[in-house]
Amino acid sequence: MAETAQFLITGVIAGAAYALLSLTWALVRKVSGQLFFVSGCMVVLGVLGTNALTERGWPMAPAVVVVVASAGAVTLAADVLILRRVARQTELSGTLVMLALAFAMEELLSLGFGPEPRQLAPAVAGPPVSFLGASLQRQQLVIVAATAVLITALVLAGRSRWGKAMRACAENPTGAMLVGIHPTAVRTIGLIIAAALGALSGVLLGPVAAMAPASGFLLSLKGFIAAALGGWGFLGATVAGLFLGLTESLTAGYISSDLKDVVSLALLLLVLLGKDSIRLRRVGRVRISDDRREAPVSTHPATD
Amino acid sequence: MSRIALLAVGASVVVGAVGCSAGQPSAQKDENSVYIGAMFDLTGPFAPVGTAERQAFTLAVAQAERDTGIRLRTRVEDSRTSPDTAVKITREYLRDKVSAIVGPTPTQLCDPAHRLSDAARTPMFCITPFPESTTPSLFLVDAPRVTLVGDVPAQFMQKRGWRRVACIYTADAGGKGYADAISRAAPRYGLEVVASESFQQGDTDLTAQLTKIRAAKPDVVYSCSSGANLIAVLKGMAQLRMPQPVFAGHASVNYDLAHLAASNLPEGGVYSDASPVLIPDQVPSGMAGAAKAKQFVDAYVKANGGKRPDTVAGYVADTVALIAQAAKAAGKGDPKSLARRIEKTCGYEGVLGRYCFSPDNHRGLASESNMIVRWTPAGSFRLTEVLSARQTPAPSPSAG
Repeated sequence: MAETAQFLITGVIAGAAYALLSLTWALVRKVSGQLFFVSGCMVVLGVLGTNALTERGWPMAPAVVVVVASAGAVTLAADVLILRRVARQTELSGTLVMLALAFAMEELLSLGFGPEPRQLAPAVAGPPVSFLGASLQRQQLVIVAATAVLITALVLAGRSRWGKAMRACAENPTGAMLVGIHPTAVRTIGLIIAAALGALSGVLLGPVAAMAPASGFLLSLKGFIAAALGGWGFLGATVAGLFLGLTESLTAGYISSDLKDVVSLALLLLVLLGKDSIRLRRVGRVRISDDRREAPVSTHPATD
Repeated sequence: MSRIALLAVGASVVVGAVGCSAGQPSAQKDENSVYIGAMFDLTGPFAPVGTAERQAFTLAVAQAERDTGIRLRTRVEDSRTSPDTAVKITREYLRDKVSAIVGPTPTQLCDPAHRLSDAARTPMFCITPFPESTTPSLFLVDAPRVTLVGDVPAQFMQKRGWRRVACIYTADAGGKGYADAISRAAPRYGLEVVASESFQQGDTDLTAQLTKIRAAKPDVVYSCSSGANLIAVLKGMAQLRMPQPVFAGHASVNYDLAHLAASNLPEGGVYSDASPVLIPDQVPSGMAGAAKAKQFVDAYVKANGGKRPDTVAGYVADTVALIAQAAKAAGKGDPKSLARRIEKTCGYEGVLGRYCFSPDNHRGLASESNMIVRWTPAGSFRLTEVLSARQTPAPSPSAG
């Protein structure tokens, strides 16, 4: 019983971390239609940057503010110099540019901070706490609480005027401009928020995991899987992140730890294949209706 | 695709190439000179190891030139923890007719790369204990896998009275090598492997695997992994309140990780094997390598702003010294003469100990004893046991 509780708690905590990362992917997908491959780099920047400042005697809070702001500034520069120039190109161009940026950022992080792994001091120090026979680090409670707060804030923001503007820009930039929305500004703000969220995730995860410049990719991949499983919406990505964490933990606990990642990737494949078949059916229906009336077809994913 | 997209992809390739082309030949090509091609993982998951190796290589080349009086031409490339890149670099070096190749380090890179150097009869020194057998062109300065990551920990566990061993390993060639070695060594020392769980390189949460290990009630946990994966094991054990001692895998032992591990040491302690390079001031008197290790460590610390070297840096230093000594004795730097001369090297004392190669033995390090250290809360190592290598059953023979 205690073992089951431990697997479930472990799954929920891992899921919260995946959900946190999936939010960055979902947000960028919403505002730009692009895949945020630099998400993992932002997480690593959060850990390495905060560690570098605190080791130089900075108090934690200002260090976190500076690092999160730096992540936003780096993304703003990348957007102004590169990303917005490919915003209207094909999805493949955007994806390749994001991938190139991720590789370049990993190299730069290694050059700037060194290749060695670093960790952060926990926000709440102390021995592990027990819950239903399972034990967990205090910092993990902070991760779960922070994830809940951030998700709530993003979901509420998504339903605000800004959220509607963001959705309008993603679905129809020209139409959005006609009603007075500035798509480029909305897009840039979305990217900056996603980068800051990534760096903040790093600050939260840094005390429970040592990270090096090369650590971002695997974490980022899990965030991508959760966001894709959840249909690129905030709530969907959160639920998918938790589901992914639980599935991995229970697979490692009751089947085999060798199959943990196989199961999560298989899940992604199944969902993507299922979505493709649903999309094909939808396209078929729309084509039939097009014959009768000119119905608009939205190419962007549904949002919360 | 837009020009910007192409430019961005190109820029990242350039950044990668800058990291990749970490060094170019240090002098013009000369048929009679000794030309060493090296490859280390300067980027990717093994970058901390590769960076230390490159620093050791630079120091060792300068030292070898002073000791032998011969000029070494060198070139260093970044193998990026990628088998494809290691193969590509090996091809380039062979085309460039290098005298010998130093590296790569991870087993999964050494395996495909040394097949090429074998075909070209060019000596290659992989910085790994894992290949089961050597070949006419593959040399190793490390003890065999079964000894280093199997017999040494098993012998220590037996001495401590720890009978039930749990292994947590990375699901790659290196991690599986550790798990296989301890499984094979355990019965010889009266030990039982009661749990064996895997994880992916870079996984940050191992509590599911460790929960299963805890249920198996082991006396000791063997962290069968390299680099910072050890920290994830220790953090998971701390979370689950597991007091068992941990034996850290051979490739996790360095001062950076000792510093990171300091706040998560289990009640039973963390132990690992150690070389004279790791603890030069604690080496028992008379042990081979002690004096040279001290010199090497002092030079390394001075050249690297106080950063201390680990055992892997010692492998690189000894490899370069062995190649230079063999080249001096051979009087020329062509690969075949060099390989045959290295096979005749016996009694050379490097920073890790005494070496004795032969045509039938391409694993040179003749360990007389093995030091075991306990990791301290101050982020350092304290010598806790010296195991006699004579108690260790004979290692599996290499093909030579």
